[in-house]
Amino acid sequence: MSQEQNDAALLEPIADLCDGQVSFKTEGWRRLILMEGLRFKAGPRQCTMDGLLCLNHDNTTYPTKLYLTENVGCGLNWNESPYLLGRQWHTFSWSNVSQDQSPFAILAAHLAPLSKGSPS
Amino acid sequence: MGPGRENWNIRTYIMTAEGKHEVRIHIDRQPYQSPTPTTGEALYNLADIGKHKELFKEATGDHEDKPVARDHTELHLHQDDHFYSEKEEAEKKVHITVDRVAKTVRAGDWLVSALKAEVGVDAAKVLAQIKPHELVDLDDAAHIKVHDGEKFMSHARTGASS
Repeated sequence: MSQEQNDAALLEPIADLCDGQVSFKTEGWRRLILMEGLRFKAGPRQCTMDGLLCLNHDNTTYPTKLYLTENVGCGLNWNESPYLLGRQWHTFSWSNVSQDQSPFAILAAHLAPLSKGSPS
Repeated sequence: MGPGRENWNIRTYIMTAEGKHEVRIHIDRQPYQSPTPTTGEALYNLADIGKHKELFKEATGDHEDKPVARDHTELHLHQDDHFYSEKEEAEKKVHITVDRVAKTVRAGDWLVSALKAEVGVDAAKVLAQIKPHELVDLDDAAHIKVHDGEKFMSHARTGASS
């Protein structure tokens, strides 16, 4: 399987949850997946917004990160608003989601606390 | 109803020894003679419908077909009523996708932990259902209805608020 085919296979399941395009991006040392129109639940609220998944965050406690265009609360600690790919993002503190799994599994692990939380 | 049809009905209605009429009905496209009134149980026995099958009476027009209970409820039959049997949900198989791999399981109600074992998902992992608008993590102790074509994925139970 070529690198292109491998990338497509990794992104395909994530695309099931997105209205728009899903693509690998890089910025500096970060390997990112840009998810346009990511559909998810924040507590009882149905959300659709762009998301950015960092597959190699340079922090051993936070080896992966999910960035969203909006702080959706859910009782989580939203403590960082980085500027990536030319726009502002918001992320919550969610530790120990390993890099050693598929991007879809990483995304699922970060979405789980949002679906269980209560929106602010 | 014209006189011809009336005469035909007279010919085909047979009086049984118990004083009941007998009519011709069809179960799974096979003709049977049955007394009327009768019971659901008697119809199941008449066509030897297996215990994992359910009998339905065909309805006309926009009406839904009605299930026939396998009990002693009285049923009034009409000449050329049609019935058919179907496998009960517990016997039906559905095709689902788990971690992008096709799996075949029985349809209907599943305890999530049992479904995980059936499709080979590690008990330590979370089974999540991929719905059009969200990814839903399923609690191991929850019961779900599994339908054909549904998609699931598993992921590690990782992450903590900090």
